[in-house]
Amino acid sequence: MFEHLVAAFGLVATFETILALAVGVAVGVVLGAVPGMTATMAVGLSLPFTFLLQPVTGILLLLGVYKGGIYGGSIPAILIKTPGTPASSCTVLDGYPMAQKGQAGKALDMALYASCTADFISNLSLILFAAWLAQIALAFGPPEYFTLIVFSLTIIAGVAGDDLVKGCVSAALGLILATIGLDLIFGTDRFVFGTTSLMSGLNFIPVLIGLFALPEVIDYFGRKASARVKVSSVGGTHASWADYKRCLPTIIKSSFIGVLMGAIPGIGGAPSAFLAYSEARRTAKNRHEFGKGAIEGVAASEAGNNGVAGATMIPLLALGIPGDVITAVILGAFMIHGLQPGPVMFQNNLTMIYALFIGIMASSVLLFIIGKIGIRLFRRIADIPKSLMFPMVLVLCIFGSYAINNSMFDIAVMLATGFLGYFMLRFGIPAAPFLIAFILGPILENTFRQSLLMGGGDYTIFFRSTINWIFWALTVGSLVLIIYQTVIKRRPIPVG
Amino acid sequence: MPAISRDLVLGLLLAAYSLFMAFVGIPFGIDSPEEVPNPALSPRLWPDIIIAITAFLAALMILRAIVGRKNGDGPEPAGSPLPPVEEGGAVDPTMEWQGRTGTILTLVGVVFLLLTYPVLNVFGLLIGSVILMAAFSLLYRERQWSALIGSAVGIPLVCYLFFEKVANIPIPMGLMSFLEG
Repeated sequence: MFEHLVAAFGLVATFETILALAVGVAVGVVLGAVPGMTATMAVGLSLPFTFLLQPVTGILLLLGVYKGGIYGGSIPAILIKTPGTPASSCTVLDGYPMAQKGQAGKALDMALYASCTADFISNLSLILFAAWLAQIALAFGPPEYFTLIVFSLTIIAGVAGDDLVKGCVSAALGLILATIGLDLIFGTDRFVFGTTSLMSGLNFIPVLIGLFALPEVIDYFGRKASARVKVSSVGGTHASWADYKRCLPTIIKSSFIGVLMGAIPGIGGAPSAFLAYSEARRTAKNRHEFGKGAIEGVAASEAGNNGVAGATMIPLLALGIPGDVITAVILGAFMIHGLQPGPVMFQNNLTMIYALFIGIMASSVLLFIIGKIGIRLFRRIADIPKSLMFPMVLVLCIFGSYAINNSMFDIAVMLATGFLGYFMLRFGIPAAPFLIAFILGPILENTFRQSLLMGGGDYTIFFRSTINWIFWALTVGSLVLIIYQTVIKRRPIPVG
Repeated sequence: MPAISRDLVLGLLLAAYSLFMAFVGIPFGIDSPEEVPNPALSPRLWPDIIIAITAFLAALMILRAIVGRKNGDGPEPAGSPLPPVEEGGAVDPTMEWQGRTGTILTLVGVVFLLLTYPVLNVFGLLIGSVILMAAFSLLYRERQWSALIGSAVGIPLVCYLFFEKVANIPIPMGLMSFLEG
C-alpha cells in the first residue's frame, strides 16, 4: 500500500498536474459564474483540452472544473440574484439580501469557506467509503452488474425534472443511439448504413457537447436581455474567523447532508442545498433572519451543494456507475483516457486511485486559494455579453468535437445532436437522462447479453443471487418512492 | 380546430418513430445471421427491447394527454420556451423570450447553423470559425465592432494554436490548406 501511495504522490506532485488542477478550478469558477452556463457544459467543453495530458492530470483538471463550477455558481447568485448553476439556486435566498445590505464580500467569503470545508469533508468520505464499496463489488458477475446498472438508471428519475415519463423517453432515445456501431458478439452492422465512421459507434463527446451546449446557442437566438443586470458591489466587508466559527456547526451538518445526498445516485446539488438550508433554518436560533440575509443561510446552502461533489464520485470510482450527470461525463472522460473505473481499478491500478484521492484533496485547497484571490475579478464575469459568449461556445464546440478523432464527421454528429437537443428542449424533454443512458447503454447491453449467455437464455439468471435480489429490491423501492413523490407533487394544495 | 397539447404531439411522434423502427429501422438497419442459436446472441434483441419500451412510453403519453384533457387539465401551450430546470440544463432567468419574433429569429439561427458544416468544409476550421463567430455575433445583435472583430479572430486563433501547435492535432484548413505543414 505504502509504495502505491508514494508512487501516487509522485504522479500528482508535478508542476504539470498542479497547474492543470489550478487551471481546472479557475476555469470551473469562471464558467460556473456565467449565468446560462452549467458545470456539465463547463466539464464537457474542457474535456477536449485534456487529450494531450496524462490520464491522471486530465481527469484531475476535469474534477477541478467540476468543483470550481459548483462554487462559481454562487457568485452571480449573491451578486445579481441569478444562480450560475441550478445547484446555487438556494444561495440566492440569503446571499442576495446580504449583497443588498452591502455585505456581498462577506457573503462571498462565507460561500467560499463553506464550499471548501464541505468539499474537504466530501472528499474524505469518498476516500473512506469508495475502497470498501469496491471490495464488495469484486464479487459481482454480469447478472449482478446488470441489476446494479438497472438500479443506477433510477437516477434518471432524479435528473428528469418534473416529468418522469419524458425522462424515460429521453433515456430510451439515448439507449437506442448507443446501439449504433458493430454488434458486440457477431460484429455485424447495427444502424451503420455503410458509413465507415459509424462502425465504432458515436463518440460521446460530440453527443455531450451537442446535447448540452448547442441547444442553449440556438435558444438564445429568440431571446433578449430582460433588463440591464445590476451587479452588486463586493464592498469592503469580509467574513471574519468569528463568523466562520459561528457557522461551522451548520457547515459540518450541511456537509454531511450533502455527502449523504451525493452518495445516492441522481439527487444532485440543488435538492441537497435546499434540504441543508431548511434543516439549518429549522434548528437556528435566528430563524426569522433566514431569507433576509442570514450568513448561516449562505453557509448551509453552499455546504449542502458542495458536499455532494466528492460523494458522487463514490459510486463512480467504486462501482463504475455515475452518481449524476457530471460524473457520467467524467466516466466518459475516464474511458477516453483508456481507464475503466470500478472495483477492478482498485485491484489493478491502485496508484491511479490514490493519485486521484490526493489530487481531489489538493483541489479543495486550490479552490480556497483561487476563490480568495479571484473574488473581485469574478464579479466581472456576469458582465460578459451573451452575444459574444454563445458564438464563443459554438467555436469551442466545433474544435472540441473535431479534436476527439480528427474527424469532420464528429462535427456533423455534434450539430445533429444539437438539433435533437433543441427539439427536446422545446418539448420539455430533459437532456440529462439521454446522456446517462447513452453512456450506460453499452455496459447495460453487454452485461444483459453476457448474463443470458451464461444462463443459456434463461431469464431467471437475473434472480439467482442475493445481490441480484438486493438490487431489484432497491430498484423497486426507488421506483415506488418516485411514483409516490410524483403523486404528492400533482395533488392540488387545498386553499384556505 | 382545438388546441393540440404538446404531450399529444410528442406521443404521436414517438408512436410513429417506434413503428418506423420496429418495421423498417431494425429489420433493415441491423444485420443479423439467419439462424441464431440463442436469443441472447441476436443483435436485434436489445434494440427490440428499447423500441418496445419507447412504444409503451408513447402510448402512455397519448393516454395521459387524452385523459388529462377530459379531466379539464388545459393543454400546455405548444412551444413554450422555458424548459424545466434540470440538473445539467441551463435556463438564464435574465433572458426573456421574444414571442413570435423570437420564433422567427430562432428559425433564422437554425438555418445559419445548418450552414455551419458546409462553411467549415470549404473554409476549414480556422477561417470557417472566424466567419461563423462574426456571423453569429451579428445575429445575436452585437454591435460593438471592436469586441466583435477581436473575439471573432481571437477565439478561433487561440483554439487553432492550442490544438494544432500544442496538442499536435492537424486542423483542416480548407481553402487555406496551403498554410498547412
